[in-house]
Amino acid sequence: MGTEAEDAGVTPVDAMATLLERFAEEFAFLMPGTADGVLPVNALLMDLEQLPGIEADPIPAQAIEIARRWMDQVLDGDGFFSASTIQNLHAWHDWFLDHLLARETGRPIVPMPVQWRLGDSAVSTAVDHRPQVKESASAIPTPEGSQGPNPHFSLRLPADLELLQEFHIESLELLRSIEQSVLELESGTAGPDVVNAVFRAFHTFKGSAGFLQLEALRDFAHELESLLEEVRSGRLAVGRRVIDAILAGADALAGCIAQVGIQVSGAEPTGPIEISAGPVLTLIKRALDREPDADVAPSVSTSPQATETQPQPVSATHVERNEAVVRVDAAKLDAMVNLVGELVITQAYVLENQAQKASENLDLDYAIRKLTRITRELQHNALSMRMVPISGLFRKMSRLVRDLAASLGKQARLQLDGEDTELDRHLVEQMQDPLVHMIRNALDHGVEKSDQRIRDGKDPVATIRLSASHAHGGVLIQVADDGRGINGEALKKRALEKGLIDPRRELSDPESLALIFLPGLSTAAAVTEVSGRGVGMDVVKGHIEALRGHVGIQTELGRGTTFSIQLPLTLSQIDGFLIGVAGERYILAAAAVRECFRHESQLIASVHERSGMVSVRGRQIPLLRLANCLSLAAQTRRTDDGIVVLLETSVGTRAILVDEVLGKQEVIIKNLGDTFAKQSLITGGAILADGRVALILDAETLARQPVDGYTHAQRDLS
Amino acid sequence: MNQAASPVPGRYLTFYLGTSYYAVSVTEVREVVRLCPITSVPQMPDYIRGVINLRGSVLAVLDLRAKFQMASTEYSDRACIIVFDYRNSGRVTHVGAIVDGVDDVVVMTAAHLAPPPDFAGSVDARFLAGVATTATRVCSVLSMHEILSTDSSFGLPDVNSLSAQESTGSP
Repeated sequence: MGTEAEDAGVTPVDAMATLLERFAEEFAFLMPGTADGVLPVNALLMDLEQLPGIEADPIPAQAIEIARRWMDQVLDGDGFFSASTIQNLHAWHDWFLDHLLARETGRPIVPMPVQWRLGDSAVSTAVDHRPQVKESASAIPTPEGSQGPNPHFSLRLPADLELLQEFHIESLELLRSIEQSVLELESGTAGPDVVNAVFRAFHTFKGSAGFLQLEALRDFAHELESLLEEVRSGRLAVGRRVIDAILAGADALAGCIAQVGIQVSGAEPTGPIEISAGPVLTLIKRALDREPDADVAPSVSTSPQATETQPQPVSATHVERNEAVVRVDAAKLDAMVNLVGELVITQAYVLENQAQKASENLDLDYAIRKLTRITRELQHNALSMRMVPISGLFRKMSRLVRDLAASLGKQARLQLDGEDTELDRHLVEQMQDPLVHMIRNALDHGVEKSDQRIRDGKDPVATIRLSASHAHGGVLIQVADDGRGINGEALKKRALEKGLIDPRRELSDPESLALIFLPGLSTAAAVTEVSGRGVGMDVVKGHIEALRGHVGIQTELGRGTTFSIQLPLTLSQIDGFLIGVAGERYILAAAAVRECFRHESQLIASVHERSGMVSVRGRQIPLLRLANCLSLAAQTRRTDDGIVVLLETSVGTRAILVDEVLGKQEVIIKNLGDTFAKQSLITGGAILADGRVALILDAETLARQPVDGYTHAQRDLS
Repeated sequence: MNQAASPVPGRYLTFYLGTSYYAVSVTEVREVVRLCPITSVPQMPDYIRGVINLRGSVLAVLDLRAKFQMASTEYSDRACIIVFDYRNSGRVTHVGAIVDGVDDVVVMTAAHLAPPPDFAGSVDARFLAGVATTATRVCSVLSMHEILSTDSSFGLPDVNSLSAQESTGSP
C-alpha cells in the first residue's frame, strides 16, 4: 500500500481521500443485521491505518482509531452490523471527507462529534454533522422513553411461527419499497403518490406489528408514520432532514427484521430484539421541529427529463405484483427445470421411435403432436420461472448513486428504465459488480461538478440513466451519463505511452475507444486528468464476457458516454453448435463459431508439412485438430476428410478440424460438478435427444491449446 | 490411521470387483443404476470414466477398478453404477462409481466390524474404513468420502510402494 502511494507521488491526504471514496462504495451495501461488507470495510480501514505517516497526523489518526473501535465491536460481537454502527460509519465518513476538504481549502476544521470520543458507539450521530455538533449537548425529549435503553420486543415462538414468517417476508418487501420511494422523493421527481406509498408502508408495518403484539415495533413504526403524515398533509416539505429520518428509520426497522428472520429460522434462540430507536427519534424530532433547511432536495419536478421516468406507475405495478407472488425455494425450482428438461428429451425420444407407427395410427399421431406442444410450453414456462425482474439490482444502484455522488461532491440523479425486464436470477446476481464499477466510473470520471456543468450550460444535476430492455434475443443493459464523454485521442496517446499498442497501427475511432478495455490503461488519468485510479474496465469486460455477454461503448465529447451490455436471457441455456469428433459429440457456443467449410486439401496442404495452419482467403489461421487435442487419436479419421470450423475468440481466429458438423440446437447447460472444477476446457454438459451427455467445449480455452497436436497425425501419415 | 476405530454398525451395501468384496455404508449411497452410456471427458485421469445423465442431471462416474489399480475387464451384464452422495463443505454432489456387481444390503453389528488392518492389500489404506466379516465372506469397508475427495488430487498410491512397505515391515 505504502509503496504504491509513494510511487504515484500521492500525498497522504490524497491517499486518504481515495480510500474514503472506496468506503463510500462499500457503505452503500451495508445492511443492518447482516455481515455484508464487514470484511471489505475492515480491510479498507486497515489500509487507512497503514498509510505512511498517518500516526503523525493527530486528527485522522484519532478518527481512524474511533472507526477501528466500532469495527472491533462488530468483529468481536456477532460479526453483523447494527443499524447504529452503520449510521455512525456513514457520519464518520462524511465528517472525515469534510475534514480533509477543510484542510485542503483552508476552511476552519470542524471538530469531531464529542460522543465518538466518549466511546459510546450507540450514541447517534446525524448525517449532517454541523447542527449536530451544536445540538449534541442538549437533551432531546423524545416520546416513549427513548433516552433510556432502546425499546425492545420479543417474538412469540413457536406459537406465531407462521405468522412471523409471513411478517418477515412482507416486511422485507415493505422496506425495499420504502427505500426505493425515498430515493425517488430525493431525486425530486416524485409526486404525492410516492409520499403516500411510504406512508402506507409504515402504516402496514405498524398494523402487522400490532397484530403480532410487537408493541415496541408498532410504536416505533407509528413515529415514522406520524412523520409521513405531516408530509402527506402538506405541513412539512420533503427535505434532507425528512429523508434522512425516513432512511434511518427504515434501516433501524431492517435491523429488527433481520433479527426476526434469524430467530424465526431457528438459527438463534428467541430473545428480546432491540430497536435502535434513539438516533431515529432524534432525526424525526429534528425533521418535525425545524423549518425546511437550505439543502432541501428539489421537491417539485423541474427538469423535463425527470418526468420521463414516471416512477409512480412503476412502484404501483410493483405493489400489485407482490400480491400474486409465491415464493419457492430456488433449489426446488432448479430441480423442476431439470426434470422438465428430461421430459423434453424423453418426449423427443418417443417422437422419434413412434413416428413411423404413428403414421398408421392417426389418434396416436395426434396425441404425440399434442404432447410435443405441451412439453415445449412447459419447458418455456419452467425456464421463465427462473427469471426475475432486474429492479432489485437497479434499486441498489439508486443507493450507490446517492451516497457516491454525495461523497464526490457532485449532484446526480439516477434515472431507471425498464426495471421490469426479466432475466435469469444468476445473471442478475453476477451483474452487480460490473454495474457498480461502471456507475462509479460514470460518477467519478464522466460527470462534472455542478459549477462546471453550469459553465457548460448543462443542468447542474447530472443524470445517469440505467436501462434494461429486450434486444437481440437477450437483454440489453445500458449505463449512460450526460457527463464530459471520453476522449478517444487521449486514450490512444495514453496507450502509446504505456506501450500497449503498436504506434504504426492506424486506429479508427471505435477502435480507439475500445482501448478503454485494455488492461493496464488507467483511463481516469488519460481521459479526465482526474487524479485517482481508473477502475479497470478490462475487469468489467472480462466479467461480462464470462456471462457470455458483450460490452460496447459510445461517447460524444461534452455530451456523455453510454456503455451497452448485451447479455443472454439466461445462463442455463446456450445456442449450441453440435460437432462430431471420433464418434463423440461436442457442443460449441454458436456465438463463437464464425463459419465452417469442408476441408479442401489445397487449403491445408501446409499442414502436412507440420505447420498446423490453414489458409482462409489468403490468411493463415492456426489449426487445431480437435481429436488430437482431446486425446481421441486412436479413433481419428484421416485428416483429409474433416470439416474446418473457424472460431472467433479473444485471442483471434482459430480453426479446429472436426469430423462432422451435426447442426445447431438450443441446449440446457448442466453443471458437471466439482470433479471437473479444475479445468476450463469443458464448461458443462448438455443432454441430447438420445439421452446421452454431450460436453460443451469452451472456445476460449480451445484457442489457447497448443497447436502441437499434429504430431500424432504426422506419424500416422508417414 | 493406525488408531482408527471400527466402522459404525448399521446397514451396508456390499459389492464386488473381480473376486474381492467391498462394503459401503448405505448412508453414503444414493441409488444404484444400470450401466448406461458414458460420455468420456478428455484430459482426465483414467479412472474418471466420464459423465452420465441421471434423470436430467449430469454426474461424474469413476471406475473403481481403475481407481484401485486393478486390471480392467469388459463390463458384464451385472456391472452397475452406484451413485454416492459426496458431502463437501456443506454441499452434496452426486458421484457414480462403476462396480462389477452389487451383492446385497447387510446389517452389520459391532461384532462384524473391525478396524482396518495394518496393511491394506491392493487398496490404499486411506480408502479403507475397516473390515467386515459376515457368515459368508470378508469385505473391505470403504470410506467413499476419502475415495471421492482424492479425486481432485489425482495422486494415486503406487501399488508397488505399498507392497514394498509390507515387505520392509517383515524382513
